[in-house]
Formats: sequence, C-alpha cells, structure tokens
Amino acid sequence: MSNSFEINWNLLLPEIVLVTAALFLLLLGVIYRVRAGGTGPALAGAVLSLAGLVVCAFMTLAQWDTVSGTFHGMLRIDPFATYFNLLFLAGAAAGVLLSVREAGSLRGVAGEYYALLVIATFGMMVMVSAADLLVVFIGLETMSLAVYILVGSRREKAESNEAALKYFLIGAFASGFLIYGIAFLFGATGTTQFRGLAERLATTDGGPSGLQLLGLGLVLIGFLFKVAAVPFHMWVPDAYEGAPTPITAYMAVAVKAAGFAVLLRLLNVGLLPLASYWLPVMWTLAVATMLVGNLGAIFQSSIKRMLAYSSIAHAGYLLVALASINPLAANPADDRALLAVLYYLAIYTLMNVGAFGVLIYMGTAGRPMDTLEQVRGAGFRYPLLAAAMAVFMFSLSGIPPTGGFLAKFYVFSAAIDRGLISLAIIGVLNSAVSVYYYLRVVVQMYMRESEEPLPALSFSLPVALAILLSAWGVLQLGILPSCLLDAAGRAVQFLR
Amino acid sequence: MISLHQLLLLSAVLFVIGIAGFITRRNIIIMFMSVELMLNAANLALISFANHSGSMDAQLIALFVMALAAAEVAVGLAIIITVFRNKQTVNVDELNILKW
Amino acid sequence: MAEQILFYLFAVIAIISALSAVTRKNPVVSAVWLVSCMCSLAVIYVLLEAYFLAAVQVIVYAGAVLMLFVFVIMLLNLRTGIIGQFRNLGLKFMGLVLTVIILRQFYTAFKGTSLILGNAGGLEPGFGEARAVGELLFTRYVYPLELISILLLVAIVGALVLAGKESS
Repeated sequence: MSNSFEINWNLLLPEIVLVTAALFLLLLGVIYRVRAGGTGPALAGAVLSLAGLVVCAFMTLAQWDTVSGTFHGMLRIDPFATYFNLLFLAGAAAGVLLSVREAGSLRGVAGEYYALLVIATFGMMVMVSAADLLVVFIGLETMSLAVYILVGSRREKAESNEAALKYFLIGAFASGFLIYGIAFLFGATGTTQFRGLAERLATTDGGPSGLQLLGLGLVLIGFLFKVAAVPFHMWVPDAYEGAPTPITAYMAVAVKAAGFAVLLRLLNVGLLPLASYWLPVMWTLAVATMLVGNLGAIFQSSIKRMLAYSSIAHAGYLLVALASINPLAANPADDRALLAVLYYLAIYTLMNVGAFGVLIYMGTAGRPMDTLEQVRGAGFRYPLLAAAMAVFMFSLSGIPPTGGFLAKFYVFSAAIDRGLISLAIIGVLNSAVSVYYYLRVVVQMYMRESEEPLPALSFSLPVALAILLSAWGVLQLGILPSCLLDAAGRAVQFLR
Repeated sequence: MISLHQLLLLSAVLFVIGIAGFITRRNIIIMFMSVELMLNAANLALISFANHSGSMDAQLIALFVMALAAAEVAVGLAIIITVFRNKQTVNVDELNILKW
Repeated sequence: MAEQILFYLFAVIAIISALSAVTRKNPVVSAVWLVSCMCSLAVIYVLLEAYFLAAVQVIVYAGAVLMLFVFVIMLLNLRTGIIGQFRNLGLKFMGLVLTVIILRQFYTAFKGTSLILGNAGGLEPGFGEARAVGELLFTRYVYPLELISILLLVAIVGALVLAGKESS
C-alpha cells in the first residue's frame, strides 16, 4: 500500500468546475429569495449552469488524450471516460435548455433545481471515471438521489410526487442489492478495484466460487434496475410519465447512458473472467426487454408513456450488444459490439432529446402535450416542428438515412458476427413492430385533422435550439457516422 | 472466533427478511425500513470479511454505506412527506394516478 | 466460548427484531424493533473488533436514522385507518416462497465456498479502532470521502427542495 499523497488534482478539474457551478447555483437561490425576484432566478440559473457545463466540456475535451489514474487507483481518466463524460454533459445541457420554459413554475427553487441537475451530471462523471466499485457506488447514489429529487421537484403536483416515490423506493431497493453484491465480490477477492478483481477472478482454481457468482448476480441486479432491463423495469413508465418533461428527457438519455457506461466497464474490466456466466444472462434479458418494451409501447395513448416503453425497448437493443461482446478479442477496438454500444448511446441521446423537446415545445401552459389525439393536424399547423418530430420518430424506429438505423445496424451485425443469429432475428422483428407505434405519431400529425384549432405557440429559443441541434445530429451522424465511430473506436481501446 | 459461515448466514437471513418485507408490505415507511435492513445485512457481511481477512478496507466500505444510508433516508422521508401532503396516504396501492 | 454464546444470543435477537420490524402493523412499533435489531448488530460488530463502526452504528443508525423515521411518522400523524396492511394473500405467499428460494441459494453458495481468507497471524493491534479507520479515511479513501461530502450536500438540498416551506 502506498501512503503517498501524490494526488493529481488536474485529472479532477472538470468535476471540480461542475461542483463549483452547483455551489454558485445554490447561492443564487439564496440571493434571489431575499429579493423575491420573478423569473430572474430561473433565467440566471439556466445561464449559470450552461456556462458551467460548457467550461466543463472544454476541460473534458482537453483530457481526450489523457490516460491516467490517481487517488490510489480509484480514479481513472481515459478516452472511454472522456467520451461518456462529454455525452453526459451534452445530455445535461439539453436538460437545461428544455427546462428554461418550465422553470418559471418552479416557485423559488429554480437555483436548487439547476444545481441538482449539475450535481447529477457530476455523479455520472464520477461513475464512469471510477476504477473501484466503491467509487462507482457513491457516484451512482449521488446521481440517483439528485434525480429522485428532480423527478419530485414539482411538489404541488400529485403525479410528480408519486413518480418520485416509486422511483425512489425501487432505486433504494436496487442499491441494497448492489452493495450486497459488492460486499460478496470483496469477500471473494479481497478487493473492490476493477483490475484487482479481474486478476483474482481469473486466477481462482477450479472455476468461480459460489460467493463470486453470488456477487456477480447481485451486482448485475443492482445495475439492471438502473438501466431498466426487464424484469426490473416496472418503475420506468410511472417515473417517466410523472416527472417534469425536461427531467424525463434527462433520465431517458443521461441516466441510461451512465448505467450502460458503468456496466460496460465493469463487465469488460472487472468481471471479464466471468464472461461465460453473464453473456447468457444478457442474451435472455435482451429478448425479454425488447419484447416487453415494444409490446407495452403499442398500447399507450400518452406519447410520454410510449416513449418510456420505447426506452425499455432500446435498453433491450443495447443488451443485445452486451450479449454479443467477444471476451477473447485481443484488441477491444476490434469488438464491434463495444463500438455499437457507444455509437448507439450517442444517437439515442440525440433522438430522445429531440422527441421530448418537440413535446415540450408543442405544449402550452394550460394544455400540456400528452396524448396522441393532441398532435392531430400538427403537421399543417406547425410544419417545422412536425417535420423534426417525424425525423426523430423515423430514427427511433430505425429507418434510414437516420442515425437510429445505423445504430441498430451495428448492434445486430455485431450479434451476427458472434453467431447469435436467433438473437439478431428477434431484434429485427422487434424493431419492425416498433415501426407501428412510432409511425402512428407521424400519421396522427399528417393524416388527421384536429377537432379544435391548435393554438399558436410562443417561440422559445432554448428549446428550438435543442431540437434543431438534435435533428441535425441525427441526420448528420446517420449519413456520415465516421467521426463518431472514430471517437468511439479510440474510446473502447482503453477498455480492458 | 466466530465462523464466517455463521456470520454470512445471519447476514443473508437479514437481507432476505428485508426483501420479503419490501415485497409483501404496502406501507411505504415499512418498505423503506426493509431497505435499511438490507443495507445493514450488507454491512454485517462487509465487517465479517474485514475481521476474517485482517484488512480494514471492508470496514471503510461499511462506513461509507452508513453515510449513504443516512443521506438516502433524508431524501426518502422528504419524498414521503410531499406525497402525504397531497394524498394523505402512505399506502402504495392508493398511489394510482399513474398506473403502477 | 463466551464470544460464541454472545454471538448466538444477539444473532437470535437480531433475527427476531428484524422479523417483527417487517411484520408489525404500526410503523412506530416497527421502528422500535428495527432499533433493537441495529443495536444487536452493533454488539456483533464489537465481537468482530469493529469498535468504531459499532459506535457509528448506534449513533447514526439507531440514533439518527431511526429517530428521523419516528419523527416523520409522528409528523404525519399516521392513524391506524390509513396505515397500510399487507398486500393480498397471494403476494404474501409468493413473497414467502421467494424468500425460501433466495435463502437456499445463499446457503448453497456459502457452503460450496471455502471461506478461508488470509488471516493467519491474527489481527494487528488497534484493528477497527478510530485511529485505524481515520488514517485510512484520509489517505487511501480520501476520494470517496470527498465524494460523500457532495452526496450529503445533495441530501440536504433535496430535503429542502421537497419538504421545505413554500416560498411564494
């Protein structure tokens, strides 16, 4: 054990910037509450948090070539961490942009709202740049606690309370499993560091012990709750529907990406010696998750709830990629399953930010956009918005030339590469089913007349910006994916 | 010295009682207490491992779990209070605005 | 030998308290049973030479966490009418079956594992005392320590946002 205090604080600079921004945001709440300002705190909060996120993003970008660890091997910055950190920052920035319009109704807690959003992002960055299960656990809890609160931040609304409660109870239950699993993995190997874990698991004589498998199982249950895989998905529709829409978008993109990023690192570094045990589990869960997500989505009349089931289905496609990982690949950059996950999560972020953005834009204060009937005729009344929505729906269902198509293509071809033909076929069939409910939204917008005239929408620059950037990204990366693929390829090199 | 088998078995029994409580009760507060029981079971396992391996690391992990449980309780009870303000109930089955 | 007897005694108390805590109708009674469970665990921690953690267990869990529970139950003034009962009988039965299955799983896993960890030479002097914990906390575990401080900040802010006074 080295007792030296040589800590490289530079590696932690982006995180420090985020926490500083969050502290200023908290102060903001105090300053404005004294002056009893109207929309002042909401606007100032948005500007301040965006500034913090942008500065942090530049610092993270500067770490692109860094491969280093510090804090007694608990922190590890490598391109894999940097790739996901940038993704989380993008998701958080989208969350802020989408919140600007609704933040007026936060009544005195706008500063705290943005501060929690920033700290949740901080938690994700800690998780993905951790090299130790204990740090992963603390980062995960920081993120989760902040998101529970954000889900319940509309405290005068019963749906918001209820969603927060259900999400919280299930989340706390899941973290019980996670910590018990960590305890067993520690007991079986004597370490919680990923590298040490892999070494000791690989050198166990006569196959893994019961304690190791128990640890693996419990840790997996803990994470699968977070990424909403069946059968641990039951909280998703309620939490997504009840949360304020910008937070739903944030949960759908950033929280899910964080869960998968950590799972990827844990499975590929720490638990790689047990691959023959977790690969079949992923196979089964992938099938179940795709089926439940897609079948559930068909019967929804609320678009928000439909997107919640769709997020379960997309978790299923991502699990297909996890089931197709080749544990023996000499160079992880050659493993197409890993590349597919990274590309998929980036595209998924863009599609969801866009789709939720359109829902927010189309809603007005007295008439929140929710059901399929409400978008009837939107194609004629709001041509630009409807066109953007159509792009996102095409992309979600995987129709070319959008990014969603390529994402699914990479996932399924990775499965075929590994000989999982039946899994790929089930996946393709599922995604064919999904076309039905995604295109139903487009059909309602363009082929039905609305019963009552649709109201004029007030222009909102931040929301429009979020929608525009996502639409551009979905199309651009669907036609010319090479730059993102290069980045992902470099990122996965440092996995394992 | 107490055998590790017995300690782990005690911790497993507590953990499973926690799971059973969470699944079968509909009172939110008792469901939440069951989760605390699960965290305690994990701590007992960690401290047993620390004692039997002679390294302090597991004790430190248990200490962090305690800090975390305290934070979780503060947030959880705050959420329960907001729910109760609007709905006057702590029964999960009566929380049905959203289809569970 | 005395160690063994104490362990059995408090293990039984812990299990009985835990069972009572999850089966009582009244949450206040449950909370008191849970305190008893936490305290008997603290005794077992002492037997395992985790002296500092035993103290923290009593102070944080039995003292702060469960007091907070009782405080909230009293604050909400839960009357028996609105106190939730068990879910329906089918679910109760399912819970019981699941419990037995999981417990069996654990038991076989423990049984099939040789649980001999590297502790041949006995524990170092000072093991589990505040000094040893503190030294590790501020050297090897300084990063998680810093992170926990942010987590506690989130908890404070969260409690304020959710349950604080309405400022309109």
